[in-house]
Amino acid sequence: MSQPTILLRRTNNHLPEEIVLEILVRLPVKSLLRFRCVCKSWYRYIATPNFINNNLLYCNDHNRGFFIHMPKTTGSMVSFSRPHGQICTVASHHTFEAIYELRIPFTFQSGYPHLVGSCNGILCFSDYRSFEFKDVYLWNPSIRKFKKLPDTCLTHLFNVSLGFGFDSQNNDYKVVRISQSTAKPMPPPDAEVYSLSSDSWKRVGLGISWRSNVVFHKFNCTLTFPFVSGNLHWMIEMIEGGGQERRFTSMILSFDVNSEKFKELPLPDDEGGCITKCLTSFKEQLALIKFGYGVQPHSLLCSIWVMGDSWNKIRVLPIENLTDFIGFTNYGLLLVQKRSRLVSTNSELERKHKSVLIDPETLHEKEIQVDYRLDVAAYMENLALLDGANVVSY
Amino acid sequence: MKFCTVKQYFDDENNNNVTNGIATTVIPLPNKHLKIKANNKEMEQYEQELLRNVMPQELTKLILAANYLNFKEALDFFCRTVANAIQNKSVDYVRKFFGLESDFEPGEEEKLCKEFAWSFEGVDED
Repeated sequence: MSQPTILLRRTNNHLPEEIVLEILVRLPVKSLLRFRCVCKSWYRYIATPNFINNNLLYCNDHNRGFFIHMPKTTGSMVSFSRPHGQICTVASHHTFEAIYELRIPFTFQSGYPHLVGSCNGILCFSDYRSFEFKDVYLWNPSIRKFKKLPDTCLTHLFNVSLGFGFDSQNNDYKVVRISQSTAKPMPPPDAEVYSLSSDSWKRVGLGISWRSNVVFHKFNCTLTFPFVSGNLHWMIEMIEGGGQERRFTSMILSFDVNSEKFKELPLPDDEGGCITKCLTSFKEQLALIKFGYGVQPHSLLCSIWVMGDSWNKIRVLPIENLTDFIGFTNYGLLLVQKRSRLVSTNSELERKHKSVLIDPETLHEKEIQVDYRLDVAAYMENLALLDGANVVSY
Repeated sequence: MKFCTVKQYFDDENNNNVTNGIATTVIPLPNKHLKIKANNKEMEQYEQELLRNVMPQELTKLILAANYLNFKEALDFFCRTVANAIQNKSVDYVRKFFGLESDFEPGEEEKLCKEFAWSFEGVDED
């Protein structure tokens, strides 16, 4: 169709609104942003939250999702003043081939962005600096807009943990900030929640019975905290009791983004010793991955637990030369980092890491072309954050 | 379910939503869909074939027919086709295509276009 032919006459055969919406919902974001200028009713259609949601659902159902990865800001990166590239790579869900790159359009005082999370293609970043995570940004790369969140309403920030989720019942994006206190003995942490619709922070009581004999607690925060079934989750490592009676325990704190209430979740019963454990998500369920010593040298035994009604151990597999667990893909593949061979660059020997995808069922491994420590997240196009206060376009 | 609506249509004399020509295009679709559901490439080729034989003016009638017959797969197919056809086109093209006119105040449209100026890049020439 090279010449625009008149598809219909205004008097009869006019396409009803619901049909126009059926056509519009199938369009990519860039087209929709342009077609807001067609007429007033199209402008209205494209801005309604219901339409935005349907467009998102259509993308999800029709496999228009991606995977985003970027260099992970780590303590050593900051200590050794190694610059952060500020580039996020958008890659295929299936093959992990890079499709295009996004440059983070805002900068942090420290120069080190920390990926808090990703929800429906909206990315949440904070400033990786002395664990205060004071500055928080929401960014929608599909519409090239970002927004800096207002300042905290808590009096004091220390050893902060953040979480980013979507309240589907109210169509609202929320950020949770939990801050520890420096008082001794360590009281329970403070919490606040930000909602995009109110554009403000609000204190939230923990509301759970905090164990009275906790002398120390910290968040196990190697990975972005999983947002699953409308709940954010954090794992807290604690030391209970003093002196001879010291015990190391862990608990899972969950936050329902709709009711804005905290809850404590149990860990799996199997408390066999392990080197480390991480809370993550596996095929849209809460998962726990534990690493213990394997039989072979340089081999770790990885146990995968998934939370249904209760914890269920679904798989145990050995992984050789493991240096880092990154996450699970949408299809349940394990993404890890492994120690690689020594590589000679500029007459210096450097040990490069390699990123590997492992199928937990078949144990088949596939190397992907990324050699830095990664943060990963699901990504898709989204129209949200279209109108709002303090939103910056670039 | 589909066949009940079709029967209803044939019984309904006052129906001018669907002409015979349209019916012969729309109705064979479910069988074809079932036959080549698994193969996406074949489906694409079939869709291209179908469109070549359909005059653009007919497309809106096809959509209305599919909607009237409550024929979800055909509706999805036609809407997807239209979406693919217009996705990289200019605002003017889309207006002509749907028979719409701009009803913005003077200056309002310009402001809207400026907000996402980058979305106008790389658009097909009219």
